[in-house]
Amino acid sequence: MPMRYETPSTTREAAALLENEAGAAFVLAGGTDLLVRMKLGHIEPALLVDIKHIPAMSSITHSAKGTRIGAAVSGAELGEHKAVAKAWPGVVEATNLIGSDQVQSRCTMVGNLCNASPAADSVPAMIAAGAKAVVVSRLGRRTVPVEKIVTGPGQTSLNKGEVIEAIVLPARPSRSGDAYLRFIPRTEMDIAVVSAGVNLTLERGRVKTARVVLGAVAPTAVVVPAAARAIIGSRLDEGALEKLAAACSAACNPIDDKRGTVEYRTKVAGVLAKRAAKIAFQRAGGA
Amino acid sequence: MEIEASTIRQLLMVLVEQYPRMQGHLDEGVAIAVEGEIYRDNWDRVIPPGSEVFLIPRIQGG
Amino acid sequence: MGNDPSYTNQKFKVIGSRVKRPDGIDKVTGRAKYGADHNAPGQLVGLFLRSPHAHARIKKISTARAEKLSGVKAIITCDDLPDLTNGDTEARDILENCMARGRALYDGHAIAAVAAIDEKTAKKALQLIKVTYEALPHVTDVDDALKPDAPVLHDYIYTTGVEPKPKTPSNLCNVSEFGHGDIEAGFAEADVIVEKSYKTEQVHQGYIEPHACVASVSPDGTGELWVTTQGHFSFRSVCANLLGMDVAKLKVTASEIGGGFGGKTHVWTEPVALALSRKANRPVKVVMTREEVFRASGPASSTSIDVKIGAKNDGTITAAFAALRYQGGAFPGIWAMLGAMTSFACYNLANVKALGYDVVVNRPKVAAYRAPSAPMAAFAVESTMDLLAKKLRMKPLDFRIKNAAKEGTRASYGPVYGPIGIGPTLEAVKKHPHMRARLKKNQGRGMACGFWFNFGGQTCTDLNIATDGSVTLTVGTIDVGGSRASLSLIAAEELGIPYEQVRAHIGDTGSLGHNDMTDGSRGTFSSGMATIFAARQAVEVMRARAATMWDIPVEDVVWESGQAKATGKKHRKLKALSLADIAAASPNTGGPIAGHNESVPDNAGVSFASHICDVEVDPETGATRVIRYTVIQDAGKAIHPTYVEGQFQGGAAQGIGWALNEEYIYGDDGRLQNPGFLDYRIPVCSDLPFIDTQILEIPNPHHPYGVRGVGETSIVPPLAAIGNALSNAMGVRMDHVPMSPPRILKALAQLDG
Ligand SMILES: Cc1cc2nc3c(=O)[nH]c(=O)nc-3n(C[C@H](O)[C@H](O)[C@H](O)COP(=O)(O)OP(=O)(O)OC[C@H]3O[C@@H](n4cnc5c(N)ncnc54)[C@H](O)[C@@H]3O)c2cc1C
Repeated sequence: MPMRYETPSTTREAAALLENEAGAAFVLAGGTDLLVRMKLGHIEPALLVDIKHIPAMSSITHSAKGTRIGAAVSGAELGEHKAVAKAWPGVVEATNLIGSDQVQSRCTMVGNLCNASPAADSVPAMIAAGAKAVVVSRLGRRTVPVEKIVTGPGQTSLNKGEVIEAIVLPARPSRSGDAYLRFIPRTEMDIAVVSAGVNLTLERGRVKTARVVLGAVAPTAVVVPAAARAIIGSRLDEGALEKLAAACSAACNPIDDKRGTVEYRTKVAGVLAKRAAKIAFQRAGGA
Repeated sequence: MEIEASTIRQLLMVLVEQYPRMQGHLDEGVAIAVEGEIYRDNWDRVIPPGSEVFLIPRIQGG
Repeated sequence: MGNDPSYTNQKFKVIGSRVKRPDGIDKVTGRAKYGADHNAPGQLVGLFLRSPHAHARIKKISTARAEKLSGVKAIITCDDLPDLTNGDTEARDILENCMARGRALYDGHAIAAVAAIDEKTAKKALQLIKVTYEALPHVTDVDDALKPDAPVLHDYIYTTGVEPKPKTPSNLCNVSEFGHGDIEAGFAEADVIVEKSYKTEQVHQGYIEPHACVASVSPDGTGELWVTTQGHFSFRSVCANLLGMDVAKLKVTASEIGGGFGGKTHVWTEPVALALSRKANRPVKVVMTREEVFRASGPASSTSIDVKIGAKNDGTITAAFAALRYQGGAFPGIWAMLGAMTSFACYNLANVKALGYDVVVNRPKVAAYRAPSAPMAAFAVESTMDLLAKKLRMKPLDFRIKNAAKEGTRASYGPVYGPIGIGPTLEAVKKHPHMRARLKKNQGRGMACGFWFNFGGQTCTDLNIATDGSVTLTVGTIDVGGSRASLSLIAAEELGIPYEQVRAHIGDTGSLGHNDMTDGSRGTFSSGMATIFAARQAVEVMRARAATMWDIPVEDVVWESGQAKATGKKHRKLKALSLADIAAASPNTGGPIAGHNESVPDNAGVSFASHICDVEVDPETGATRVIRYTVIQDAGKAIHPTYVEGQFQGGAAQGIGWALNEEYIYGDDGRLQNPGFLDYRIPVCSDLPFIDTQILEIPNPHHPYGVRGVGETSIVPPLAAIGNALSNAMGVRMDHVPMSPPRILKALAQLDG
């Protein structure tokens, strides 16, 4: 059976194509995960629905509700968007860490999310930012917090015939900052052994709200409310940072694998969370 | 051991005559060090009188 | 130093200049043809079925369903490769490694192969082959393989090199011993003794180009093989022998090579590709995937090494001992022996003993990797040297200088050294500004030495002069690092013509006599020597032709700066004839002008290097960055300094990757978990600092220009240099390579705890 390749021009059309295909159907965004899996023979799609020709998925727009980033926007385009980079440096730096220049010109945040790797770089940063995914099907649309999309390694909560149209980052209060750090043994072209995203807002020099999220330490990205509590109300003094690190290490549920040991991931999760918190604090104007 | 021979080839012949068990090692491949330099194939190499000769296993490189 | 001044003071015209390499443009424009770039009419795609088991009995292979698939032209198993090796155990092992015979000996061992009209059909055919395995207990760790209860791989391996001969088979193939003196007495004399054990994990050469070939065998028994290789003549002999072909009837053409580092000195799929072609009666192309390259083409040994060194308070080493256990994969190797030979080669030792234990395990057959076995031994010895220096309160550099081997030293592996470079490289380290650069917090500096033998070997070279005076140089050693440029420089130097007038080619096996492989750092050394003699022979021919043209006796003709000149008063009127003049006249003076040389230029000249390295460690994550690195090595004479530096830098870069991150990771099931560049972490460009180099030229008295091999030694010191630098940065001694972030963090935690 030859594989079908479709290039719809609306999200609804894309959803309908996916729904009506009896065989294995996949959304094709940048293809930097999908095409690799096809080449390796891990999947044999009957249908590919390329979303890069859908205008609603190819733009970045702003409204009072926040910033809406189309699902087909590449990492490179996101990085060049000054307003987003200013408001959400953590989300942008996380997305820009993916792969190399070549991969950046193709890869998308949503592809990174839907590939559902525990080590996906943009995901902890998106979750820390409180990002939401706009999920579209033939029948309608729903808006889902990003942390509800991935349910396990390689698995998402999307139903057949559902496609993510965009990611929405909430409106940004002043005195806010976010940051993302990952540990890789090399300097680039590597997969996170452990990672941490922190997003916070300050009020009179103290942390008012915070979200701390870890990657690659459990089957899905882990939101760590205890880590956020450890720094809320503080000026990010050493004591608060130590508590934050301890909470992060405690929240880890990693595995020993070829990329790192349980012991290592648990320790370094705390280290990275501390460092990311400091950067976010500084970006928020904290001293 | 002391051996009368003027080239590596002669040396190996004499060696096998005197010590037949050496043949096995020779079959596996040897290299010969004459005055510090290693010879793998050049068995015409003249051995100066009084030289020290070493048989070492034939080595591989990358 | 007992250097022969006639070499040191030689004046060269083009030798030592940094000309552009002849293969450069084709390589950067993508025009160069590598292994996978060749295609033959009617060619089939060859694919392999590989064992998913680390160790298993193969009870049955059913190919019937696959054979029926339309588009499948041949399927072979070991039954199609009868054992013609006639008691040659080395050849037998190669045969069995290329295709399993009754037992799968490692994860990735070839079980069957298919040739089909396209990849899709071949893949489908592989799925239709049914193999019934009976899993057997396996062992992948070198120390575990030596335990009494370890599963024994081969019932025919009885340890050699030990008395009495063992009564039962084991995984220990051979014990080799090198050294001299009396180490017991030596240790008794020592004021300080350090003893330590080390482990290094398995690494792959990591060449970017996977193994690839196009094989074509015709029903008349002749054949052709296009292949990426470090030695097409050797590939020809091995393949012809395994397949029962006449050597001369198999023509092997070497493609451009995208890295080999020893890994392409061994055959992997090539004999099978030929067998597939013979059975299908069509050309067959085989290109290994990266996963296959990792699982089934030879990595270097993993090792476990104990070192003990004793010294007097004044820093004189009184005795040195090492026990080195190397696994050779599923077949016996000589890797521990090489480790034992090289381990103490840098030092002048009265009492020394090195024992090499060659072990088999359920891993792919080990292949040579750049100065094979020396880096691991150097890691263990050079780390111990630093520990001992510390105990003696000496600077590690001074401790090494005090004990360095020199001319007249008996090498730990037997012979007595001629003029050698270890002392000068150490003195150069002492003078180098790198040693005085300031270090910051969490940074540390280390240094280490390394040795490699280098070899020469059989060589055959042709030099042909065209009628326009341009020169074709045909050599039989593969160009892995710019040797065509170096050899052209040599031809130009000898003939007295510009470099640009020479074009160097790698001849196929039909155009030259046997050449040994480009291994053992021999390419430029051996083919360079043969080029010198071929050129000198051509000069003799040209002198004779000039004499004919002038009608004077040949004795009256001399060759100077690329010209024939008539000597003596009576010939005063004769104008010098250039190479081009003589070439132009050649059709009427006796035909083409050529020079030829076949020889065995042994004496490649042992080579030594000392490396200096600065690292910075992140104590919270265990991440290490190499922030400065200097290679100082003896090249004898650098024909083309840029490519000598390239060899120095390349070896250091590979050593840095080996030291910090590269390792084969096996699961409990004995299967390789990281057969790809994502999780087998060779360094990327941004991981490395610029690697500084300093070329020393201590001439090799056995080469007309003083050349020594330079390709391998540079990979020997890095593991130890980085280990020593790390230890100075963090105060903990790393004894397990790779010194990866988790290992470093663990070592730091133990230090705190
Ligand atoms: C060389 C290389 C380096 C890499 N480095 C990194 C790295 O450093 N960090 C990292 O996290 N990842 C890395 N990756 C993985 C990959 O690049 C990222 O996950 C990337 O973000 C995927 O985006 P994409 O647009 O290419 O996704 P695609 O491959 O197009 O899609 C991925 C998956 O998501 C699904 N999908 C895509 N878009 C939608 C949608 N709108 N709605 C529903 N489902 C959708 C697809 O069907 C597919 O299953 C690397 C990959 C390569 C090849």
